[in-house]
Amino acid sequence: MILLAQDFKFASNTKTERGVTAGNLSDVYQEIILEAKDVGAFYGKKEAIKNVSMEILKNKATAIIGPSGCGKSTLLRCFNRMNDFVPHFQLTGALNYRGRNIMKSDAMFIRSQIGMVFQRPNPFPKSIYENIVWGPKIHGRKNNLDELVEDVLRKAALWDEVKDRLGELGTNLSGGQQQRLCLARTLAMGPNVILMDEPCSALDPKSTAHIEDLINVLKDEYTIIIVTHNMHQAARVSDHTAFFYEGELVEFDATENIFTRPKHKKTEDYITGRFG
Amino acid sequence: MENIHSIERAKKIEKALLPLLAAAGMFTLLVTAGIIFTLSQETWQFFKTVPIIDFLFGTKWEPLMEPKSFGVLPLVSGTLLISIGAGVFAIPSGVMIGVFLTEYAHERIRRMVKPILEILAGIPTIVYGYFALTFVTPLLKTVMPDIEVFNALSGAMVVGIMILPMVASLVDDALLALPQSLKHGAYALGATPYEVIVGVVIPASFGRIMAAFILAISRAVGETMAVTMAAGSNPQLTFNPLNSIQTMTSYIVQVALGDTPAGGIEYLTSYAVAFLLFAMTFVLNWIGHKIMQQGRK
Repeated sequence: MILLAQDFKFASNTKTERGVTAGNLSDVYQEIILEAKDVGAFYGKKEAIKNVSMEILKNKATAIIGPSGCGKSTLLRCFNRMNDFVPHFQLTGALNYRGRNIMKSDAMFIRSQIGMVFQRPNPFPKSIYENIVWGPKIHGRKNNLDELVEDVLRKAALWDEVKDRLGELGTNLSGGQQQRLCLARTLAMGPNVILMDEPCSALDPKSTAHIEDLINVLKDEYTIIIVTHNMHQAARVSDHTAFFYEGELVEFDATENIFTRPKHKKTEDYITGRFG
Repeated sequence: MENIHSIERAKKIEKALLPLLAAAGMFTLLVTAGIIFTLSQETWQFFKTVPIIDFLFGTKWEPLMEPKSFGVLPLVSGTLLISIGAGVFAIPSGVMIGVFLTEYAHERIRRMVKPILEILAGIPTIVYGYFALTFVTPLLKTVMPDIEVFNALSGAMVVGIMILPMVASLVDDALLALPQSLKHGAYALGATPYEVIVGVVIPASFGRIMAAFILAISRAVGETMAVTMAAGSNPQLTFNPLNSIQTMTSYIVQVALGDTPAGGIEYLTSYAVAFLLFAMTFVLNWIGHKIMQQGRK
């Protein structure tokens, strides 16, 4: 193999978990927070993902990589039921969040527990302050909103930039700031899991670095699943990496293993840039 | 060879088409200019005899009786009563229909309701007049026995029904113009559809919804036949919807259909009223379009 470990910079606190086999990371004695069992997804008759089984561990960052159209975003959106909005979408198999069937649970509850940051920043056309408190307010929170705003803005590394203008429109911030605002808005719900759907694809390199640094900090407190096109990003931020190809989960392992000792030819071809 | 021929032909058609299209465009401009010119000229004649202050601020409209009085306010109040009343009926229900169509309705229902709304918009206004006179007013009489046969309320209600499709369809457009990503952002926070609509969708398209209201009100201001039939022709300065009133448009109809001699001061009054009406709807439309544009940015 031509690929060397030093080609990819790994997340600082990644511990290599040897002997972990694809699709099964549970032998490292950690809580499984999300689980997919034989999940298949269809847009009408078109099959988007087939027979995907995987376990997501609590307080880990999991990256999902693969070429366009491989089903990685579809899977991500299954976890918080965002595919409910797609007409003719159908799901087979089972998805569990802490042992609870996601498809049979209340979607509003699931989404308050499993937050999402989208590909393009989508702040509400409200003030920065209102962007953050809107979610908690509709879920009944009335007290200590000011503290909450400061807390999540600090976590999203945005506080110093906006603390003097919380009343200004969130949509007037720069792209990178907007994305951090959307992250803060998600954090304000106090979720356990944060799904990120190519969160940096619309951002410049500096803002991208900012978000990546945040992921590395936030995974101590949250479980993060990030879909990305950028393999270096996957290597930098994630503990585990899943490689998808044509709707199938090809390989799922500790990130370092995926990038240095891939077991499948397809994975190797993809990460060495032979296709994608 | 053949190819070159067809290109030549296409070019010829193109050349011939251009002046035709330009002429069609010019035609509408000319008609608009003509209308403004006629209106202004006759209105100018009117204001040579009647001071503009008396016209705009007078509270008595008796141009056909002796002594003549040319205060336009009773007609303006009648018009406002009808348009605001129509807005009160049409705006809340129009918004609800728009929200239902974009956010709740199944694609199949949407495809059924939209054309029905358009049919409603295409019914001749005189039919609405009969509807008001023979259905709405008797119905109102059972609830409020002392309502007059011709009354502003019944007129406002049918005009409300008339502008309802317009409000619904403009609100529908306004809501559809909103990026999906914004709604998804709200849903991803665990919001219910109702919370998304009230908390995000409606505030975000507030400008465009306001514009829809203004355009619909402007349409109600200009409405004639239904109002003439339903609300009567009794110019009085009142804001009681149970009274009989006269709107600006009904007055113009009265003059145009009556035996008022052309060229007399009575005849010129209709031009002055029409000019004021034109100015009112023009300003409303202009504001509406301005807000629309703002919303699009």
